Amino acid sequence: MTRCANPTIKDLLPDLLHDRLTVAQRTQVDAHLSTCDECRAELTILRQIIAVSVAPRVDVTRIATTLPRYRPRSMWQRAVHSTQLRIAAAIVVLAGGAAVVATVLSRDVAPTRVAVQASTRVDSTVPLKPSTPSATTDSTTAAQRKPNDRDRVPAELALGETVHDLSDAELRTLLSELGTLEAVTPTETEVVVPALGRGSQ
Amino acid sequence: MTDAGRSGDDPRDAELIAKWKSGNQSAATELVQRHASALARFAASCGAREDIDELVQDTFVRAFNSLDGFRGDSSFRTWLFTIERRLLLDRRRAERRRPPGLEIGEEDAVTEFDALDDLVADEAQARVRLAIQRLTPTQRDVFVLRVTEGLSYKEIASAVSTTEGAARVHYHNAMHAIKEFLND
Repeated sequence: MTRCANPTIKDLLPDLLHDRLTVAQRTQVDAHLSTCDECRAELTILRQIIAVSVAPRVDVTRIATTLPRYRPRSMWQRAVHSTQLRIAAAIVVLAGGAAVVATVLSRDVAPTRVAVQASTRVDSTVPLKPSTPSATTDSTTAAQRKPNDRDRVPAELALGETVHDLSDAELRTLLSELGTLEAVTPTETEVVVPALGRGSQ
Repeated sequence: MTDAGRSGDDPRDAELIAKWKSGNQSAATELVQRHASALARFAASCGAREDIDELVQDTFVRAFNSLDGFRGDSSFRTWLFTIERRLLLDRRRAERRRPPGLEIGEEDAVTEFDALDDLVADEAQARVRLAIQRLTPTQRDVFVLRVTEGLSYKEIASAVSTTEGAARVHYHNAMHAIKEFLND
């Protein structure tokens, strides 16, 4: 059997059987078949396959009775099936998720701080260690602390220097001033450290 | 049963769909008459052994329930083949999930093409059918749509969710496998 050297024609054989060729294509295929044993054999196989592919009987009347009546989609259903709206919804969900993650992360990074409201209505924040018993011990432990511990306190949260940088005399002055300040109302307080500085008075 | 040729007739289908949407239920009946045979033939050729009638019905019900989503990118028949093929894949998956310990009754001991045994008496034809059944599911779907339904590669690509090039390769691999089997 001669091997077919024209795969394009071979590709058209099913179309020949289904009468889907143009007149020009049909002429071309017929001419090819008269010289190509392989394509003739393949055409025979295709004819056999079509012959065995018999459709089993189906009950058309019964099927037709089960079909629904046409109901136009409501505006809401059309919106649900709209690709553009689906994309928009996905963007909104992603943006919302990103905002939530960003908020959670920023909360994790913010240090514990005490808001002190002065009677002069000057807001200030001083980073403090909640369990600090006195200014003396605080200054001692501050000296022993590793530099990294101090570096973690964001500079913009403190008024100028941190308490670790103050001398004993400056700390005593600060604590005596703190004692004269009014207490902050609970709604304005993030964290309240009780009895701060009273031990040194 | 009226069969609208093996390749369907798009303008008539579009006309009937429009009629059905305007409340003419007999247009739906005509659409079923035009395409039910092709769907049943495709199902049988793809190895569906039982409940072909039910499969064809499910295909039509699903199609008519979502006819608003039919954009006419492909012919109505190609779209029906797409739906039926998905249902067939669901069935195949469900069969694979069937517990292995299940008792097999006498009625289950059947060959793959019992549904057509009474129609295919000739041994050569039975051999051709067996050759088709031995193809991989995708090869078989592509081959049947190309040979028995006369779909173009573009239509096949749409029906089986692949590319025209891949459909062409599946077809030629299937043809090669069938010729090898028949020449053995």
